[in-house]
Amino acid sequence: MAKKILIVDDDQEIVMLIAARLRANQYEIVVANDAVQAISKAHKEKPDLILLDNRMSAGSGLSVLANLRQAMDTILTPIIFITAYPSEKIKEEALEKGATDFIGKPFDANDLLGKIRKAFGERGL
Amino acid sequence: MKNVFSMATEDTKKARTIAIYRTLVENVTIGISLLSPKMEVLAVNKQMCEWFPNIKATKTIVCHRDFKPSPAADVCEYCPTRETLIDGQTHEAIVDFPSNADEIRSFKITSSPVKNARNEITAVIEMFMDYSETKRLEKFSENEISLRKAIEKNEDNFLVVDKNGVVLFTNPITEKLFGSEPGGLRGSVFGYPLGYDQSTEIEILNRLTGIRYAELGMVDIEWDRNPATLVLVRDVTDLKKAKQVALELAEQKRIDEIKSEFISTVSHELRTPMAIMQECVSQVLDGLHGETTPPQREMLSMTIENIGRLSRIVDNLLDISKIEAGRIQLKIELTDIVGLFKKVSSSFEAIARDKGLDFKKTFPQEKITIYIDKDKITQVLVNLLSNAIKFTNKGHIELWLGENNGIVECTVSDTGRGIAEEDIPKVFAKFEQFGRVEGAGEKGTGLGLAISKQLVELHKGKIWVDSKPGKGSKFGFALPKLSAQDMIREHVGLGLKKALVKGVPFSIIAFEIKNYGHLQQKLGAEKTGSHLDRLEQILKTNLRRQDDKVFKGVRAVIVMLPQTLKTNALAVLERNRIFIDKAVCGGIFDKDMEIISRVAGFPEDADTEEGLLVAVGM
Repeated sequence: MAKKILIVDDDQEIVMLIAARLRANQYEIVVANDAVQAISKAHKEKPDLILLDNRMSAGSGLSVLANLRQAMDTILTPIIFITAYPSEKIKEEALEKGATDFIGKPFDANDLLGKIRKAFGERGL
Repeated sequence: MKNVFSMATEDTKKARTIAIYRTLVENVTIGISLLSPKMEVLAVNKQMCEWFPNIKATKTIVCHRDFKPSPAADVCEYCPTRETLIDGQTHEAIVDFPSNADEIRSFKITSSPVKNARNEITAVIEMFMDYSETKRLEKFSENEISLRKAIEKNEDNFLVVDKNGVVLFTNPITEKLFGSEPGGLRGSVFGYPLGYDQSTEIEILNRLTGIRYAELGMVDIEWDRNPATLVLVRDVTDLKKAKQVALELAEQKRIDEIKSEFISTVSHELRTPMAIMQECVSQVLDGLHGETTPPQREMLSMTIENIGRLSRIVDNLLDISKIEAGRIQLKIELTDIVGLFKKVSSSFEAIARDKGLDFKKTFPQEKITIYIDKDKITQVLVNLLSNAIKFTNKGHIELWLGENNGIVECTVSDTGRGIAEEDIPKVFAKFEQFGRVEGAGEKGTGLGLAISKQLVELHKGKIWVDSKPGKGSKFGFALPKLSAQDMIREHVGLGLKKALVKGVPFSIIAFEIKNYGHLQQKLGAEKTGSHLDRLEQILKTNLRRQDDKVFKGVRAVIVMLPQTLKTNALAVLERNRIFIDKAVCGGIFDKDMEIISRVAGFPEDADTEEGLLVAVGM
């Protein structure tokens, strides 16, 4: 069964590109454009993995992360945090809030795919 | 006033004298009474009647029987009259009597004998002088003297100023504060406004020490029985300076936050388009959007490479602006720099050999432990090594690491093209790329050395280059080995700064192995060192809050507790002591180990890091 990935980013072009790449690798895609959508879609669509961008309008990725980690049905979902400049501080904070992994921008496609596979591998799926 | 009543009353002259004396006696403020040898009151004057209304000049009152000296006593403890009747001499005594208005008054009583021609005592004259006023004055003098002494010795600044603002009294320390010579303030007008019920802040222009700021407090007192003002002067210059520093830090913090926000915004704004470009081109290259021809793929590959380069430039730019904005916080840890450099250089060895270059390494036999930020110093080494490889086409690269006199030095030499003399000053500047033709491989950004310089200097080190065109280049950097004490001082200083800015308390606890030397002799240096490590471990595990930190010194471990009052720090100390004692009982520590623990807090004990460290005996 195809794994479902939720992409959370307010930039349409990035979303379209990532979606194209992931579809070419047999993943099913769901999209959210802001923090509110992210949370509601996470609960509604029950994705197997979430790609979460840090900066969005109406709420930061970190707060979405914290929120999702507090809800029973999203507490274990692997979340890969996308951040423009992964500084030590951001990394620490994201890890504290429960991020599974990080990726910076611009990212290497193979790197991203590798991390996604790793996140699924970790869960033993 | 000895023989007030003459026995020869028939003599007219004497009668006149007696009359005069009588008037005097009657109107004097001394109480006078005449007693018989049986201590019967024969006569009293007006003052006596005023003081003792129940005395009547009748023969029936016997002094010690009918006129009780005090509610409790029957007779005066020491009766001068009795003594006079015994030895015929004048005697004095100070006796307390309850007088009118229920007051206990002190009286100085002088008893003098009246003798006849045969030297027999026929009467005793008692003179009562109100002593209470005197006693009060004596007591006052005593108090005044001790007050004066207290003022002289006191470390605080006091002035006694009369109601006209004239300085009546002060102590040497205050004279110094006001820049006056000893005794120079007394008698002059104080000159500063004395508001009441408020504390005033004043500026003191002291020729020797410069401007001092002081807070005045006023208290109404009596001085030499006149109303006066006790002026308390508290030197708040240092406190003001500290507040000033705190304000500046807060402002700095605000500016930093603005800068950081800017950096973060720019970072995101630049990277998003780059990510899009990269992924777009990459997808086409990967065939996701149809077939591509070889020439097309070549174009696309160049595009991707340059997007990569752009990305690296942006990274470096952000690095540099972070460093320059003072936003880089070094994560200082005790590191074995030899081990670190060995690991880092091993990956460059392969790259060098691939290019046909020799890679020589010189490391010391023993490890070198130094307080550095591992990642940042790695970044510097990586920069130097990759530059060396990039600009060298044949010959060798040499890496050297050593320690000299408390300074750790590292050099990277190559046999590349070298740098022209006029270009040497520009080497560490931003974006200066001059003449050096890069070989194949990742293109540079022009910022690598500038960043390395900043990172080395953040560690209080130095970086330099030796180069001649055609002769190759030698880049080097040196890092001072900060002592554990230096590191502790830095950390405590940082914690104190944060506390000042936030306006919250800050405490430190020092746990010192008092008999470190003795333990070294008994167990050897290594085992004693591990005792200190264990102590550090225990204290670390007992930390309750995220911001609490533990630092190991030479023979002590310091616990830093931000936002903690000294009283609460003492509780933490107690908690840890119990733990340590248990550990000693449990054999984790040698039973001979003696640990002393001390607490110091800001603001209770000091407002500088030296002050705090001295207070805990470090």
